[in-house]
Amino acid sequence: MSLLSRKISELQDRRDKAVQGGGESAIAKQIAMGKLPARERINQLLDAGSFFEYDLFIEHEAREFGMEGKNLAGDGVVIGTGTINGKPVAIYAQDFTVAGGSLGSMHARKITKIMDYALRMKIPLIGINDSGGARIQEGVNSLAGYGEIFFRNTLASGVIPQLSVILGPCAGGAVYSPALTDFVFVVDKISKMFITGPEVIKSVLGEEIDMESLGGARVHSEITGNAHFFANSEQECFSQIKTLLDYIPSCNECKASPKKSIEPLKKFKIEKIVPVEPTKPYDVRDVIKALTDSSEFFEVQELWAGNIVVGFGRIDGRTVGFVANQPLVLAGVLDCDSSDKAARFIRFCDAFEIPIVTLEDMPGYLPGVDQEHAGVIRHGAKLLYAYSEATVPKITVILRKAYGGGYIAMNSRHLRADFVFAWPLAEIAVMGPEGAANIIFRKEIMEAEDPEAMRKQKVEEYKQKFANPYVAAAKGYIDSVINPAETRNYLKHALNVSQNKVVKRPSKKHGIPPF
Amino acid sequence: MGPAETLQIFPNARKYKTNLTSKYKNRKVWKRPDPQEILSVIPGVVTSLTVAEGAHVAKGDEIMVYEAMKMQNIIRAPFDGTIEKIHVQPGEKIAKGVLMIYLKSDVEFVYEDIDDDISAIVPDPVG
Repeated sequence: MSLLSRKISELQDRRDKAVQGGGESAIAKQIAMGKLPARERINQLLDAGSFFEYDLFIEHEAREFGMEGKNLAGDGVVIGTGTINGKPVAIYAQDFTVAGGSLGSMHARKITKIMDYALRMKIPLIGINDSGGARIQEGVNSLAGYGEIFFRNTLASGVIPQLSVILGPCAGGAVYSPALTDFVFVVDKISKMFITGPEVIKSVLGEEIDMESLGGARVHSEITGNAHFFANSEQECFSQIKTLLDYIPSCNECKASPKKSIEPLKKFKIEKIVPVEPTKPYDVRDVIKALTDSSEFFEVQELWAGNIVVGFGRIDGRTVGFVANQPLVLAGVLDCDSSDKAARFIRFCDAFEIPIVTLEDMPGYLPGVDQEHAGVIRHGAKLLYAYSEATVPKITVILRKAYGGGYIAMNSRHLRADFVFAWPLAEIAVMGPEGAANIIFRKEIMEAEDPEAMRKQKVEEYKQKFANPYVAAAKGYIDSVINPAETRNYLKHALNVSQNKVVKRPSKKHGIPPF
Repeated sequence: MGPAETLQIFPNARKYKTNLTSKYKNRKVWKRPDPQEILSVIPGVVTSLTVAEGAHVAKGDEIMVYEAMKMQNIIRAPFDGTIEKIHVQPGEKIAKGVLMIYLKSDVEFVYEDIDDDISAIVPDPVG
């Protein structure tokens, strides 16, 4: 055997040993929990054969508490680069089979190294989280590691897309890296996220709750809004990631790759979806599908704050972010959660040069003590801020109801929408006809011989006068009243003419959004 | 102010004393939600009931119409079951979070007892 082949064979032996992670029994345990080993996850997510791994031979430097001489393969994390849909990505995956994926200082250094690569190469970063938390034996070094990760998450925010995939426990301080990133993916029964676990809650508060009910995938998808995508299996989760990356650009200075423009499916007949009666609900996602290429719509945060729908679609081959009130859920009202959800989505689109199409049909903000006390003023302001701040092409279509503060908030002309279109059914006013008539004609109604008849007459009068799009059109607040069937054409044209949109804003270090 | 009520807590094997705030004392203690309870999710008015007590419904069947924010919301059965008890009447004004209908599910809900202790599933690097 030549020296070279001996050296190559030594390399191979070292590699073989390192990629075994925590060894056979730990891998078997991982699989028994319904989870894939770290490298297997990467291989399934990335294009076949595209993964290149770095820092395979890293060694930890801990000398305390029996750590000396203890070998931890790759220090419990796999890092590298590869491609998804042919486009480069940087990725790390915590390896739960090695010391429970616990985060020590070298583990953190590997993660921050790949984050630095991603930021320098301007490619998306994907983090697969599966870790028991800080490696207690490494003390404050492990906390320092988390801090370095959080700092880079913040630095990279708005520069490259950051995706967090929770495929195991992610507890304590560790949760803040996903929370700082753009999209969080969870898988039923596998993902667990919380600051303090059931044990601590029990000992401090005496309240009993299981992990799944406290911070399982469903909880974060339906209640907390921490997660953006819910999947039933790791495979489903990986396909969601691929779809998302297909819609969004690789960095803030590049554009999402355009596709061939394909007409929406014939079964979504736009003029048949929205009922004429303003009290009848419908699914606004059908309107979106009547507008997008091949009627495809990739919804974000589908299970949380369903009264507003956000997500990606394509019009004329180009990616568009949709924000739409959903009359099917809570009458489509704006409230704390829906404002929060839409505001964050708008800021993502704005950061990554994705035009925003807003479909409006909402009765206003949700009244009630719990909303007021939950801070609907502060949360609602986020929506105003996000729309006003956004400089990407912004187009609004008023489908039906546009009342009160909600009319202003939903990307109105006044917040610098580039185009505002309204359907003939649109009602744009300070409040609904019933409420308005009761206030304006209070005296007439009270003094009438038949107050009920007078009230009805006045409501009708108000409806005729204000519950239509023509008052706003007369002021130029909307650009065109359009036939619903023309909507896709209007959007195609508006997106086309606003491609080179330039907006100059006053120079500042940064704004101070209400959060 | 009267003497403060105190509680001793031991988060990191160290003893702390803290005063109990009224917010803490009035907190809602978590209890496992029962999906068979059809609660109002928004304040509104019961427009009409489509079903009567004892009726069997399939998932997706209309069970009532509930007007809120000027919208006639159709409430549908979330699963197959029997209408065990109707707690509201047509025309009744309802606040948020009120039990409106108890829908007994055809299949019993089972909750898997998932390992509660995270330290049990995280191997010790030294161990």
